[in-house]
Amino acid sequence: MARQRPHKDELLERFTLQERLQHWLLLLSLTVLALTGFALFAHGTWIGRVLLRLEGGMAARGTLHRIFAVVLMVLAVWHLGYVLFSARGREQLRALVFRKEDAVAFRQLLAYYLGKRRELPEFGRFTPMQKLQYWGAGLGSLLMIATGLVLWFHTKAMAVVPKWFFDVTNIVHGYEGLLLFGLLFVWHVYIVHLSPGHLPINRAFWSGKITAGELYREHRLEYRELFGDLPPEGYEE
Amino acid sequence: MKRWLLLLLLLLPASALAQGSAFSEVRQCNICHGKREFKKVMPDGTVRSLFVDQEELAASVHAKWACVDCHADIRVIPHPPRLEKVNCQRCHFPGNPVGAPEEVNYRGYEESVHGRLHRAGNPKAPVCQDCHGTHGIHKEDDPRSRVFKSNVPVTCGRCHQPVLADYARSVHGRSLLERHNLEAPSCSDCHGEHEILPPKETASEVSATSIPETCGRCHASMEFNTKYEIPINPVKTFKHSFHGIANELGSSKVANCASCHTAHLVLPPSDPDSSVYPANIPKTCGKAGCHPGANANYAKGRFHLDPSRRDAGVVYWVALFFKWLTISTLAALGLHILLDLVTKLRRAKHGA
Repeated sequence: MARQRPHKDELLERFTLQERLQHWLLLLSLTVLALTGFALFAHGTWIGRVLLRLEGGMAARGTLHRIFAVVLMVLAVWHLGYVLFSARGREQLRALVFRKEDAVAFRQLLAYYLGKRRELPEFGRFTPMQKLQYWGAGLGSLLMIATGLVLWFHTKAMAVVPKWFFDVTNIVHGYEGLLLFGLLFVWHVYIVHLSPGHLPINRAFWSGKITAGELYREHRLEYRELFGDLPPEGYEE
Repeated sequence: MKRWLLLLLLLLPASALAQGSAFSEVRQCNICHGKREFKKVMPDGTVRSLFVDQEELAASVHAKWACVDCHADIRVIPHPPRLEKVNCQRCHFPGNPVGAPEEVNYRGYEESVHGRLHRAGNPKAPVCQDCHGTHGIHKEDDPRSRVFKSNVPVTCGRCHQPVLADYARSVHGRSLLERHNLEAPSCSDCHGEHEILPPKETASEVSATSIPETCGRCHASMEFNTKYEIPINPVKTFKHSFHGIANELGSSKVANCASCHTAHLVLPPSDPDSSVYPANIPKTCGKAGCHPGANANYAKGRFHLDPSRRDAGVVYWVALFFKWLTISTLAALGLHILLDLVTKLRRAKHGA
């Protein structure tokens, strides 16, 4: 049942308050974790030394890292509960699953980039890139939590696992941190905020709302499901 | 000019001006001290030899000086039974006119652990002659010298006996004392000479935070390590480890070289007596409350691990996988950003 056709500037809720809170908590915890983690990783460089001083030295850095690790773990439990046990959460999770259409859309996007296609592909509620960000951030965080716990409780962990496992954990934690940083703080931030059309900031992450025009341009399949085939009133390519 | 000359005369030991009298003086002292059986019973019942070996003295760097140049409180013979301890600074002071060697580092003694104990009146605290000897003093590069490199451990061991026992069994001790390899460290190579400080003090060369650099003076060089069949750079790999990073940032709690390898009984990991022999690893890691409950798991894997080397085993392969995963992912993301940016800017230009 299609709703009435909206005006292009009409604001539509894309993320609920609860979803935005989760996002803020993730942003906060990952930022502190990245800064305190990188300070240890780059302790020998000037940037590492600056970060270490800002974080109050080696011991304070470790405490800070662990406090926000707990924040991330609480968030992980909250989020898992949300996507598994709430109707809205389950709906979002279903929409985030990779499908055959994503491969098609991705090929079309590449053709668009290479100038072989005039139109942007038609995306659903989540583009293939957004799905990649979600799963990358989600599974990456879980891997960081698991490996981080081994490193944090190394004395207890080493009662069970051999030293080489601990060494592997250490390596994985370091590289996975770097991967997450690239995925979220570079790629995700570019797509959402820095890319032409969104610069300098996309207010959706604060208000949770986007205009009907944006929905039509960037998530056309979702728009059609909601409002039918006609573009929003006053919409121009 | 005349006054200067007078001053010089006063400063010079009497015998420097009259070698002839020095000889006769030695003869006089020899009446008693030249006899091997010349001994004295101390108040505590021990017997102390008062024999002075003239040959030893004649071969020493002080051969040209007379007895009373050092034993300056002797004015008559026979002299009183209790004499002052010889004060080496009568000659060994900066700018002394007799050319006695004076190096800046002598002054480190005053603030050293030995100097402080001496100043506090501890009779066991060593003064110059306890390490350098008395009548048989030689230059430090003379194998007869008590402070010649391979004689230093025995000299220090006169007081530090248990340490000498450990050191003599260690790779360092065996190399220096048994194989006479002068590249091996003696006590002073790690602890310093005159300026020795207690290990608890940060400025000490063997304090927790100084140890990596002190050991690194030899072991940071792969050329050196290869020569002694150490397959990996122990200093570099330590500095990349948790222990090393925390140590570098000033933690004295975290393990340094000596925490695991011991300070003096350093043995190769293949030696069953070594603190880093696989079977001893749990005990070593578990000591001093570092890793309570350390078990055999602690020995299952490599120490001084360099993940970029094939011999790191599974860690090498995981690191290699993640390295390329990270590089290729970041490259793909960067490429996407570039494509997106170029396309959007081009479209915007055409649209305008």
